[in-house]
Amino acid sequence: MKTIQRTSALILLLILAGCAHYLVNAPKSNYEADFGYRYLPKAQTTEQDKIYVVLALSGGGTRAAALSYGVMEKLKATPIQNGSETLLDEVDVISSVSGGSFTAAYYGLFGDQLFSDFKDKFLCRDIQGELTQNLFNPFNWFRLMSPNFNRIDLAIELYNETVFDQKTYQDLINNGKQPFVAVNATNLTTGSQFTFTQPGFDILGSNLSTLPVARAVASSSAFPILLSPVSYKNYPASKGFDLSRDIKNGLKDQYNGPNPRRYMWAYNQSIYHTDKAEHPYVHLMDGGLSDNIGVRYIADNFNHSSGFLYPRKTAINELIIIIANAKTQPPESLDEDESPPNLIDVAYKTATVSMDNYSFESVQMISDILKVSERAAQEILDCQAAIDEHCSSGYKLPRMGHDFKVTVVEVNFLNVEDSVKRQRLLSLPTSFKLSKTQVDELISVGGELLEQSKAFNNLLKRIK
Amino acid sequence: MNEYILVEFDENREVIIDETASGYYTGDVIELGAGTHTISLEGPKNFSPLEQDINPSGTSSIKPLPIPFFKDTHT
Repeated sequence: MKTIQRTSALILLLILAGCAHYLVNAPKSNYEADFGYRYLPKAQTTEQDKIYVVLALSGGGTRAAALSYGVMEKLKATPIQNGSETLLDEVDVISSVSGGSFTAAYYGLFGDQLFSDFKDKFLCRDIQGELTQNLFNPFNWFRLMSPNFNRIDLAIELYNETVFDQKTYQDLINNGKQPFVAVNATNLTTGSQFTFTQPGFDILGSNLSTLPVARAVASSSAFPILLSPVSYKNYPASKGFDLSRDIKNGLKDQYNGPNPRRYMWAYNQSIYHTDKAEHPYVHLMDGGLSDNIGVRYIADNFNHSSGFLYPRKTAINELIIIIANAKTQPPESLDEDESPPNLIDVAYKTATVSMDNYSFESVQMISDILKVSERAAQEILDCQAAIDEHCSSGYKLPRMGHDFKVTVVEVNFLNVEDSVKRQRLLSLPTSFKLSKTQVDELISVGGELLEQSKAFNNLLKRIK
Repeated sequence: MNEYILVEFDENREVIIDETASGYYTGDVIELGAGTHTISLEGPKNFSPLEQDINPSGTSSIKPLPIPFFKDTHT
């Protein structure tokens, strides 16, 4: 009798396991402009915006997470404004991708605790091995048979329980302090960046607050083929929600209008509001597919009138972008063989070549965009100086509404001076398993590269 | 591509761009992305037109596009 009961219980358990379903994002019936995880209203932050610091943390598995940690540790050890605070205290926004998202989200949730326990909780763990171990658990075989439960859901459970302590976006809101953490993934349909903020979820008619942060980080780091995409439901529009005027004007201009880049930005968001029947779900993968650096979210918010950075331009004196770019260049042997590379090599290259090229362009792009703005203000000043010198009319040009200095610092292994060390770092694998020695070297090199940066040192002279 | 405008009004007002407070004020040179933008002013609606759709092109910070607003005389 007992055997029958045990067998029945086991069968029931396995059937239930087979009905496993990923955690569905919650709907939001009424739109509220101030609700949820969104950047602070401009009125609340004008004074502290004078020194505006953005961190962009790239993808690259544990390698990127450790490099990001090293950069942040150095910022914490950098006093500014006569030692009243550190440069890390001044960080306003962290925009992150994939491996960098683990460090960013952990700091957003736990603050300086990052420096006491993140090494043990993430950096020095064999996360990859633990994920593989979970795949060998027979109970999970039945769960994985469900069409609505995938390998990535096992990863989300692991991150949620053992790294992020089941914290949700509501916990990030409750922290009530800067920095604002923007975790970026890639929308598989549009190929565009998807950022985990309430404005992004407003378009899906959804409430981000109840979402575990681990699910966002897993979406941001779901590397193609190794891990499956993460799915989210696109609900009917929240009552009272409408697309911003910025998006509407961008759409009105059409692709062949004066700003096709703005049109595509508007279009990729708008279809999840205007065409919900065709897009009842959105499937997200590694943020590196659309921007492996995390700077495009910053560029969008700087350029677009509805972005949180645009209305702050007039309050900023120093605009600082620090990029932790963990890009590698492993030794390549493809050219040594006459026969073409095999399927696995081609698949890997297909997933990474465009990502690497795009990363270089992304860093140049953010630098160019900010410097054009900086120069526009300088041109008026230069012109006024020429008028003052050569004309007696006393004519005064209208002044530029913004006037800030731009500093872009890229922490990149290519800047390591010691060639042996540089080659060692550039050859590190992209994985969630590194040795303690490798992690320690990455942390240390993050601080060293920041310290040796000319742009960073010039900045410190102005703000120390 | 950036464009530049100069919003003109008798009073110092924050400029509303695409229904969002921009941080820029009347009399300032304002930097914008290319394309259509809807311009208005913060504060009492004692001006006309109440909003203007603009599409600046070929401007520079030295030669911004003037966008005049006029104070209503009956208010």
